[in-house]
Amino acid sequence: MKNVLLICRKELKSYFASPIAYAVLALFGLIFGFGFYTATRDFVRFSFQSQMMGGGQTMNVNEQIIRPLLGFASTVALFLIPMITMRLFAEEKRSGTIELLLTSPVSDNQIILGKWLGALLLYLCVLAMSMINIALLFAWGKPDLKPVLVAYLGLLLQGGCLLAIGTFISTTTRNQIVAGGVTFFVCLLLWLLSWFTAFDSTVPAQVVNYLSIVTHFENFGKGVLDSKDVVFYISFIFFALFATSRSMESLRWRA
Amino acid sequence: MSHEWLKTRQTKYTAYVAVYIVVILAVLTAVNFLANRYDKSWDATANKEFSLADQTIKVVKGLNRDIHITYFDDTSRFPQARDLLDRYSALSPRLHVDYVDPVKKPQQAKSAGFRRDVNILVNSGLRTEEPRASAKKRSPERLSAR
Repeated sequence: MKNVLLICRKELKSYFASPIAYAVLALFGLIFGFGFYTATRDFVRFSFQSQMMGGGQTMNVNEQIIRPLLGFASTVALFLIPMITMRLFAEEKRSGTIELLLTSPVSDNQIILGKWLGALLLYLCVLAMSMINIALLFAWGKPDLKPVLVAYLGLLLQGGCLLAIGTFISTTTRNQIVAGGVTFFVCLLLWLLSWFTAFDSTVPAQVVNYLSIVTHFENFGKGVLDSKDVVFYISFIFFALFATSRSMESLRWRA
Repeated sequence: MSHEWLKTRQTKYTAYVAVYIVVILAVLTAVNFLANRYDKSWDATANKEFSLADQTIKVVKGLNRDIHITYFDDTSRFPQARDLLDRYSALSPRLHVDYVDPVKKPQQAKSAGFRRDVNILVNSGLRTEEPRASAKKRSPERLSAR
């Protein structure tokens, strides 16, 4: 575990020593801030209109602002995660430090876990940016806290999945642009799977829909913690990291 | 024809990795299947907005024949309906929910018994009825198999 934490700390440091972390944080802050402004503005307008029409319409900050906003954050994450993972192993391969890493007294799994955890911590920092906006809602309104925490857990698990996929793809190439591009298209594919199958009740469509990473976030977004969604995300992370481990192992016998 | 490549180290390791991946995939598929079958959920909302009444859960879990719920509406309103209807289908593999847009799929809507005055129909195989009221937080007698 000590080795994992050491690699994780080194990875996190290298993110903040390069412009990547700042670019990801700034882009996310900007896009999420715009989404927050739009959602809040529409909520206030709707609230005024409802009062002018004599009330009657129930207003719910969680359902009308936080839920769509965190759903939006999960979509934005699809675009940012390739930027976080593209350099994980591709950069080590390009600069030639992968040989040093592979011959050092740490196991492949420790290296993979350390790097993935480092990327996950950066993703946590990205999510922390969104909490600033959400904190404003708590300062001036009375949203329900528990569903918000459940939604953040969902965002973290979904992010963990995409980061694990990105980590795997990063081991397959020495070119960061290729790693980032392929990760983006895979993330996009996993997102699009639910578009065409969400309301189709045939068995193949339901299987495809189940594989979509967005489908499992819907319950978290509502504030419902479902064991099947947690199991899906954890098994997805496990499988992607397992594939990364096999890919790393293959570096030794492919040569 | 030479089969030397079959004896190479790369072929041996590739086969080993392929088998390893297939085994892991099979285990994960089984785990996910069981997680779906024995799903447990916790509604964190203050008013338990996405929870069903205990009586509803008891009735749906005890279904002894397949029940089909058909929801008719515009496609854009399916997600709101799914918030609640998914809670039913998660309770029992015998309960199936179909979403039909009568404008986009008029034939399917017609064969499912679409009428303009109702947007949900429950079919137990023997008869088709519409729910009298929202079953959320109520006892859904209408859903029980007859």
